[in-house]
Amino acid sequence: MSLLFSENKLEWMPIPKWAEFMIKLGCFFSLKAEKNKRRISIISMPCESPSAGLVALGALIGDLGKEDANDVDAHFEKIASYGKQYLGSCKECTNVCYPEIKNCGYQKHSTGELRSPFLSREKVKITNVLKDSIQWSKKTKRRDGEQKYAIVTASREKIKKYHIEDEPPVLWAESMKKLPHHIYNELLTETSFLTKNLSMTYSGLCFAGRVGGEKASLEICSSVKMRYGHEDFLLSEVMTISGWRKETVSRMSYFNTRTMNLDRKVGCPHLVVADGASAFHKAIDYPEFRDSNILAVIKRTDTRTNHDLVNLKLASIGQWYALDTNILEGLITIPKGVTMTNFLRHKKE
Amino acid sequence: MNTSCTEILDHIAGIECFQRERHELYLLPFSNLRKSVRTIASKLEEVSEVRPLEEHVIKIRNLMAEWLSTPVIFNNEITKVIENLGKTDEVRDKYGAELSSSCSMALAAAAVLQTQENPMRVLMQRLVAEQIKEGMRIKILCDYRQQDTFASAISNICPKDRSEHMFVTNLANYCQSSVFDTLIKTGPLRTWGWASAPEAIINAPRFKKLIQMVWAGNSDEPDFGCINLESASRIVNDQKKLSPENTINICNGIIWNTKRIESVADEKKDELQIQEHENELFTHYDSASEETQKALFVLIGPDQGIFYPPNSQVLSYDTSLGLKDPVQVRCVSDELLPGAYIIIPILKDQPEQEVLNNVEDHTSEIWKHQLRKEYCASKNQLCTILEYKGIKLENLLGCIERWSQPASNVISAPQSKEHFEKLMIFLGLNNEKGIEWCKRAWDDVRRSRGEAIQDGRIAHDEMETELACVLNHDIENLKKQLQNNESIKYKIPTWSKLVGDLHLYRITNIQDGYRVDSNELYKYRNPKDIQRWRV
Repeated sequence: MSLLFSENKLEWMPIPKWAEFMIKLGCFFSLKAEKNKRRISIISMPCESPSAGLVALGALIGDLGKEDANDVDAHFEKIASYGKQYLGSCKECTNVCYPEIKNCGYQKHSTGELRSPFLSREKVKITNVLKDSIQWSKKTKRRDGEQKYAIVTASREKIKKYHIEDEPPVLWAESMKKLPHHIYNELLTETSFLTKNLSMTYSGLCFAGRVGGEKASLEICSSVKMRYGHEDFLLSEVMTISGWRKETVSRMSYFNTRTMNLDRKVGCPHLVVADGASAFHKAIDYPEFRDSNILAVIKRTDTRTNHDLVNLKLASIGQWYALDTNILEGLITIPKGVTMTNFLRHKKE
Repeated sequence: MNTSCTEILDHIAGIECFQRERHELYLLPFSNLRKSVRTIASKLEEVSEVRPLEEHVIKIRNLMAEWLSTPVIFNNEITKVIENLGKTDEVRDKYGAELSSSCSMALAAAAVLQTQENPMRVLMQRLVAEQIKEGMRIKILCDYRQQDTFASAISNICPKDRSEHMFVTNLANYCQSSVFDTLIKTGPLRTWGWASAPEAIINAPRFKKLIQMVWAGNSDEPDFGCINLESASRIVNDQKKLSPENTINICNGIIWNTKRIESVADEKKDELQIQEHENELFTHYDSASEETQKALFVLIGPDQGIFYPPNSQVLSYDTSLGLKDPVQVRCVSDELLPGAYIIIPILKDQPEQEVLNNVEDHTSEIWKHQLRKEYCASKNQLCTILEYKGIKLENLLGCIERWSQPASNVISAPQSKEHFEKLMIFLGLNNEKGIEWCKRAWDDVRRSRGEAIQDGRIAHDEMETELACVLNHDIENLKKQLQNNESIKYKIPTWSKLVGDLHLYRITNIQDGYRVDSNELYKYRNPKDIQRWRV
């Protein structure tokens, strides 16, 4: 059974060379990530394309094979810090939330609320953060109809079933809807992945969407369809961005370059895939990504102003980074009409 | 997106070497005219103490640029403009003998030209006819205002209703077109100004052959189309000269074979003195100015448009993307496309907003009270001491007066932290809890400034969000009103908290390549009056 590809609702065809290149490139970048090196790469396309989405998909597949590519291990710390922020700052704050103006040091407002995919209706509010547990109050109804509040203490293990209210669940039960692993398998047959990662969220990969906003990014990523057997998948669905595909874990965070917001709290992603010149320009200056590898896909049909912006940035990058011209040598052939520029810097330990 | 990426990349992959024919035209009277106009422009620049952008110079410059880049019919326009400088004697007295003789030469050359047919038109007719005969799908790249001139040049080969689909007038147009065979372009390949073209025609060709017609001496911009990304990475775009007429260029991995053809051989070709980079003479006036900034001209209807900075955000209505909410705030350079409508609110005054006085100014109350006390005791002495302490400001007394006023929405205080700290030390307010108090007070000042900015930003954002909400809610009515209309006046429904009208204008074109004074931005301008800002 082979995988078919369709772009812009045009006829089905085997995966074109350029799309294959993008997916392989993404995977290559994911596997090539090294802690002591930072790469900045620009791919230029001769037209409007969903290439950034395909690169991100390739990186997602590459990440599936990594043992530590999940948010579960650090989940307790994340919830604890979220709870502390709520209890210590956001709970009492009356300002409209502009953390950069308020100068409170936080990125995003914390409501202290948690949800669980296992208990879909339940929404709890953190009341206390302890060393090894999180507490919240739970409304209960006694048999006589009287309502009471009980303090629930969730251990490190239990908290894995809860997630921050506007973020994807960190863990997904085996029995629930899984990621379309057969598609991933078919796209990169030579890459192996760990089954456990299919039910765990991961924020080490980030997709910096178009400067036109999330709708514009969603639209371009939905222009590509893949067919495997009788099942059709949109590229936007298999990218597993939270909000683009409901009720599942998310293996990629989303950075909205229009509003400069991340869809969840992330540390420092190992790879940021930027869609467009403006997105690249915004992502590279974003403090959270200062150590991340950045791979941007730009189009040569963009305006001169946008090219100038990229050029300006690359000129300054060129002072601190070395050109890495041989990165793909012998591994993947770049399709004609597509160009790639790579910069590499060795980080100080 | 009308064309798929696969189609474009397959097209590029299928062509080993893209062809470019550069037809160079020679004509002695036109060369004389160009030479004279060059002298007139540079002499006027020399004699004028201020920038030489007097009205007639701009007109000469624009006319000359138009003649150089489009297949116009040589008419008496340029004669009229030169005559407007004054009679020969007056010009000699005012500007000198050289300029006067250049004017005479230009007038003589223009008179000869009016009796001839423009060779560019003749060549264009021939080439278009040849291409059509060979069954090629052709497109013509031109400025939208010159579309009629081009259509008239090929009207006997291609009727207007057929030719209007052939024109590519901007980058968006080009991006929407699917793969074709031949692109025809007049004038040099440049990124800015007259005859400017999208660089994508070289680095992302959707055709096989580029036919370019230029007047001899009109050189192309070096590295046109090789986007700077490549030069930044020092992946050199290769060039190889096979012969004087044949050059191979490799640009962004795409190979171009350029063939130079002297299309119209003038009998007196040897007499021609062509000055290379002629266009530079016409561009450096405006582009060099530091007071101007890059702008896009958004054309709304045939006789008006608005300059916007490239990254400004405007409220607009666009149905082409099929979004659920077609009214959104969009970035002019990235998201706004011809065919969309821009929305200009004309709002009536709202009831005055409640004056915000929500600054939690516990710290400011203390230091302002102290400062007032010092100020009342002795103004001048206070001034001298503060100056001695290092707060050296031009109008220190005025500043102290302002700083001592009670805080309103913004806490009035020294602009720099260093000055603020010095002031606190002088007032003796850093003693008890040390730097911490000073830091808190400074944080209050910063926060108040931030909140003021936030108030303004929020008010503007709220207005635009509210308008977008209103219009998206009333979208059916809006669509009905917009039907086949280029512009409408829309009355904001009474249920909205905003009062007033909205003007919606259909965007016919968005042009890059201007540098304007900041006071030219956001105002309605006639396209005829904006040529001075072209670079």
